[in-house]
Amino acid sequence: MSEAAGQPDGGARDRWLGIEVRHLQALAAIAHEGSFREAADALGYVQSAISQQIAHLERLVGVRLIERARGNTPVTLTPAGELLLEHVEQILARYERAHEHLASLSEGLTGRLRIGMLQSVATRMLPQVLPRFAERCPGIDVVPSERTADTRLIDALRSGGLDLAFCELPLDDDELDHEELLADPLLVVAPAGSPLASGSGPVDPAELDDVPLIAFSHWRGQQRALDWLATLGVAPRVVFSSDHNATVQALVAADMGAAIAPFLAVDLSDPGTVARPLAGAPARTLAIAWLRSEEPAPAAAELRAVAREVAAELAGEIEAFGAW
Amino acid sequence: MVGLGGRSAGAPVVGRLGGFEPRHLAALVAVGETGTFRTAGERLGYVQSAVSQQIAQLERSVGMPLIERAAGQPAVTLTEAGAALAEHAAGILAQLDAAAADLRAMPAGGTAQLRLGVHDRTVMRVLPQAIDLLGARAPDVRLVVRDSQAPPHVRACDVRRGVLDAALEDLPLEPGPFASVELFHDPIVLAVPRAWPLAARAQLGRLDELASVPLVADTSWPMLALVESQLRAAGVEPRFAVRSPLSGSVQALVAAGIGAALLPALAVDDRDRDVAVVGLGDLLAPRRIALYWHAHRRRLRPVEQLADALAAAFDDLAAPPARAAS
Repeated sequence: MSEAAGQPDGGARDRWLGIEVRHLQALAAIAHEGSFREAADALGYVQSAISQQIAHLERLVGVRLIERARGNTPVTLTPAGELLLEHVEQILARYERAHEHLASLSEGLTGRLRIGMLQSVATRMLPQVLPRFAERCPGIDVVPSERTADTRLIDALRSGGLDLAFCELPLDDDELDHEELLADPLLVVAPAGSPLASGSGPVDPAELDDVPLIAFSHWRGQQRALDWLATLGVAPRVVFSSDHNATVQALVAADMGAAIAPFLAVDLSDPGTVARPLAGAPARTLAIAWLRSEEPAPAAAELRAVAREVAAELAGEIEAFGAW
Repeated sequence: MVGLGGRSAGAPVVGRLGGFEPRHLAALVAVGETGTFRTAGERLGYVQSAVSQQIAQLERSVGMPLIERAAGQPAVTLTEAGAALAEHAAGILAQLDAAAADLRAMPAGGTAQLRLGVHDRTVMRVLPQAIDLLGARAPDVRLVVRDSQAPPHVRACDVRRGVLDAALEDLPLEPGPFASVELFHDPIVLAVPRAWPLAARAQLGRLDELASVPLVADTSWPMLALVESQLRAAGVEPRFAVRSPLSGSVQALVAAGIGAALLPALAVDDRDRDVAVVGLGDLLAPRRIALYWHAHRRRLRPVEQLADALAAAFDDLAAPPARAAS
């Protein structure tokens, strides 16, 4: 049985193993450029070479991938071509990762560490992480970048666009490893002078029922917080949503509504708003994540160590705020 | 876009590496897994010299040794760089397999074919209902069920290669590029010859009651080791009347009075008048049935629809309650 199961597709698999990187690059370039000629220019081949590569690829996979255009209309991919293209992009990204990994093994440190993060981390952790890291690893060029949603961070890790990312748990991705950094409690941010702002101590979740809410559009924790409130029978009304922490807080200050935000995303010095802990709410867990298949570079390990230190200090700040 | 596909200017990085093609990577993975050029060649269907040539090309193109050859020994091991590349290579080849499987599963004439591997005839109890549900919700998907007695790793290979689009299996799964959804907890019960006094019991309260019961066990059942270790952890040394690769005949031996058998509830044919089922509550961990598929596949809508249909069918199937003999 074990042999028989492998047999019917044995020949097909051999054909697929005949695929070469340049065939895949030709398909990707045509999809991207819209014509054989421009694809050839982009890859530095003559046009007939691109046509041959596509014809070869079509023979190997056994289906048409490209609708040949007449006249000057741009070429388009067949549905099979579109489907294959999705895989081709993954394969080329995996190739690039393999190549970078080998380069780093042959040269020692690559000298570059690309780290991604959410806005709140960029505001509250990065200013402390960067100088400390630079002190310890002066030869490493850190390239930070910010994303509004941590699902984008996860995508970027997987495709090799980032070496490390500060994310919220859970990651739901078994290609990634992570290390927990910080429990970041949820606060209620209310307009100064509003009833929600006037109490002392934590806000009782029941106080949020039917309250107008300014939501973060791409924060995964937003939905988790709303789901948690729903289990208590509490339903705030989302009246506005924004991607920018500062916008959300400005809308709260303008008395448009309240917001639920993690401690790190709140500017506590803002005179227009008051932040109080949300009683009983599950904190978001911040972690630093990386692709498991990557050989951990010493520089990445050092950055993680710095992140742990900064997180421990922030945990002290959170405790002092009384949210914890 | 991050991948090379998005580069529109300059020579692509990978293109400069001549001998860095999927077939070279397949050779590296095969050598790493089998440990000699000869066995790697057998697996790939090449002669030994072709394998060593491909490895040599790969080493030239990456500029580093990937394999360590001990003098006078056929066995080879991967260097650090070789092991690192082999891991990337496995990911690239898995993505290529997923691409082949996706193209093969593409709807022809509006009908998508979904090939499901079934691990065990016991799930046939839910399949008719799942097929009905799937037919109602996704009429353009044609389900093809392949029932086999093959061990789990064979189905795992078929799912990886796209011979199957999904398969039902008991957890834990074989390692591989798989995603899964857990569908059902199937409790372990004791199937007892009807003539035994024990058959009058609805349920056992303690595992040590099993210490004196002669058991029939199928050694080809993947969960057997787990069941035995749970018994031993409870201080019960199982007494086996028969312990051999039996597959289908366990229940026949129970019916013949040879011994009792620990089985997943769904595996017991409850129409059998010579066998009674005695419940064990949750004294033993249940078998967990899951649907799994290749995680790199892109068109998974039919698989998701199948998972929903199976989940609904399993939900409707109340685990057969332990019954006292009438």
